[in-house]
Amino acid sequence: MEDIELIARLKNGEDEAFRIVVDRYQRFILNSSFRFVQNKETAEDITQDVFIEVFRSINFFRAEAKLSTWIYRIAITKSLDYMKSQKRKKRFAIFKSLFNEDDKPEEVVAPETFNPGKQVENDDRIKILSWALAKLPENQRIAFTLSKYDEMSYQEIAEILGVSLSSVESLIHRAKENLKKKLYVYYKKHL
Amino acid sequence: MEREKMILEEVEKTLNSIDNVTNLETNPFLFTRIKARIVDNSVEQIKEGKTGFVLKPVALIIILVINIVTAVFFFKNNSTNQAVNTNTTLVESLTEDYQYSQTEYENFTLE
Repeated sequence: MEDIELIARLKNGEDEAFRIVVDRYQRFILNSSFRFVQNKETAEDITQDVFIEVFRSINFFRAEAKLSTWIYRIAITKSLDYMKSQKRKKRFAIFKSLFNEDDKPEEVVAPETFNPGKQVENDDRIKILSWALAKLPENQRIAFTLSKYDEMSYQEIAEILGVSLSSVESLIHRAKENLKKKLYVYYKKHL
Repeated sequence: MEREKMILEEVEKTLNSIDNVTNLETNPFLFTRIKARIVDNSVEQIKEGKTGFVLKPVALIIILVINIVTAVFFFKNNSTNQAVNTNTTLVESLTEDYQYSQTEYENFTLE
């Protein structure tokens, strides 16, 4: 079913059209959110929130962008909102921990030891990469994640982020350079 | 030198580990859950709407009554004070303008 027809049927409140949208985009949204929040249950909650938002706001969708771009944008905004709220909680937890020793804030941590050649090597690498990614500036992290993990074209990323094609190229290039630097520091310490 | 090379190799391998990332499997009940949440939210909104429909006019009436009562008290007190004060203020200003003595001032106020 083409986007135009799907949007029209969604605006009419057709259940079947909504089911098609959920089936078509749930995999991307779940995995994309997971890469930001690093927690399966939270990613599932965000996925639900995204589709509820799509259902509620479809009448405001003016078709200036593709339906997929619009949905991806909602997904990224929701994931970032969640991360911001977590950061606020963390700050509050740090403040609380000044008074209460039991309340220590949690954060994404890289493995303390690295054992090349073992079975766990790949899992470790993914964890280390996630840790380094979490340290990147927001725009670089989004652009890099969409490009490398979700295999989106630069054009699609530019539409989602609302920036030019050259900005996306620059963001991804800087993200790679920064990741290399962070990983270098990590391995220098742990190898 | 050897260590530096090893570090750079590890950095490269880790960057390439993106290719080995496995995707999460979606929940087969996702659509049902989303629909259930939409229905729940709608019911909540209706409930909120109903209580709001009753509470808003009540709050408005209470604010209106408080305003009217305050206004009535304010104007009532103000007019009485003005009536009392007019005479005294006139006498005071005359006394000051014409530099009357204390006795003359008292004569005025007694009258």
